[in-house]
Amino acid sequence: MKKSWSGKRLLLVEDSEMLLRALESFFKKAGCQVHSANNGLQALEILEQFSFDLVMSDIQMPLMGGLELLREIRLRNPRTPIVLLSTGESQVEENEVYGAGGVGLLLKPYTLRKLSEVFDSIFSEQQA
Amino acid sequence: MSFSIPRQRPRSYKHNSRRGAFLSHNDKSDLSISTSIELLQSEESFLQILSAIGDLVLVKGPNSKLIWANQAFCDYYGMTAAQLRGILDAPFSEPDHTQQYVSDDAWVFDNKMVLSIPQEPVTRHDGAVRFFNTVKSPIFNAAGDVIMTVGISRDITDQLEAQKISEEQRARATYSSKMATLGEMAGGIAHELNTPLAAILLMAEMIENQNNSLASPDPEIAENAESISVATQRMSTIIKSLKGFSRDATNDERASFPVRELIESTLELCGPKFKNDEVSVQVVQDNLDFMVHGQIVQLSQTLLNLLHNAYDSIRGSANKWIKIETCLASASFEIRVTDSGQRIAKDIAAKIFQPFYTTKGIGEGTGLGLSISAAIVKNHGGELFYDSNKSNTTFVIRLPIPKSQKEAA
Repeated sequence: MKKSWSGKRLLLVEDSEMLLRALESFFKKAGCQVHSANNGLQALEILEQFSFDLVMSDIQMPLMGGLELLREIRLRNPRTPIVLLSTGESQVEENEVYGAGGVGLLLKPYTLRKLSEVFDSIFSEQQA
Repeated sequence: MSFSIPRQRPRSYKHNSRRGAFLSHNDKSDLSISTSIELLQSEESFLQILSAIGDLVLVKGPNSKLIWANQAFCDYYGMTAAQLRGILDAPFSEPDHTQQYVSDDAWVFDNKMVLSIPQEPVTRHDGAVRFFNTVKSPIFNAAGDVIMTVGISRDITDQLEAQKISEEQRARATYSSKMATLGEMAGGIAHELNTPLAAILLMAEMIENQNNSLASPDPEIAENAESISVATQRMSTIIKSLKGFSRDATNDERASFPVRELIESTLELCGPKFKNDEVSVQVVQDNLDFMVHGQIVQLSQTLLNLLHNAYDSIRGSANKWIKIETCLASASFEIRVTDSGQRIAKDIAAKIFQPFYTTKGIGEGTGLGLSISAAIVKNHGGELFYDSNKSNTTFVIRLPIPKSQKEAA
């Protein structure tokens, strides 16, 4: 299962262990290098040491949520694409995500097809 | 002979005669008042006072024959005192009402007691029906027999109307706070469930992919994994509709949507429950592409309310069915919900749209469903009504046809 985005370095940020493991497993199989964190603060620590082609983060997390993480990353590295995951309970989220420089918003539960579409579009834009 | 009644209330007054309350006034300089007191002691003055009263005052003899009516009463019936004298009460009223008045009078005669009627309909000369609060008292002769009755009726129509409006407002407030609570809960549930659902969906799809990448994929694994995906997405749809349904949609923008969408999304919420209880739901397929213009969430709340009422009323019976059909007429579009239950009794049907009226047990119904639903449909320029001509229980959401469609037709 080779994807156009195989070999990319990903940071996954999600407080649900179950979902995090499933995502790790999926992206590793797709040939990505995966790092993961359980909240925004952990993610920032990892970002101090490594650089990533894409950060995918949940919005609602303890300690530091996805929107705050997005703003922090924008201050440090304006170009890293960030995709946020939401359970869709708030309608203002979409505006906030794009307003703060996020490049994608996925509503849980999403299908692999949807996930692939978002990733494909991000990486094909980068190549172009 | 005429006199004027002082407009201002006297500073003090007391009963100075067993025959009635006469005004006594300390201010001797006010001649018109002392003159009035003298005049008051004649029969004619009494009549004039009675006629000055805005309430309807009516004196009747045996068998409800009119003896005397004050001016307000004459005006209400559009007749002179002479025309009224001797006739039976209530010349314009429905026979039902008249019968009630006559039996009330008889009660006062027989029981020699005051009868208080909190609310009764009285038909005016122009056909308008207004509501009165009436007190009927017996008038005795020296031997202690009732020889006449005197009734005083106060028009409380406006008061009732104001009460109804404030009750409706209360109903709406109660309902929207209930919906707000439900919305909050639904939001919480959505958040808690969508994350595990995302994990389940992702894993099921990965199993499917892994299986497909084998030299000889196992069709059973493929099928099972597919079933998990479908089930997960269905759960997510239900959470979404619950959330959509319960949020406050009063200020939603209006949009056009096919009536099919309204019916299907509503059945999504209650269909499984009906199925479990073996209530068959039939959607007549005509006109389902008709484009309704309005607030879909609000109209869905209305339809769901009708479906739940139908379900509640038939769930104990043997042959249970609910039918949803639409009907396109020249000026209106109707969504009709019929259930296998018998038509509603007339006296109950008259009350079902009143806020807080319910036939359900304590804790089962708030009595708000139909009144709120009616308000929603009214907001859409239409009406929600009970069709008493049908032998089964039928409720109708009647909506006006959108302008754009009229032009297209």
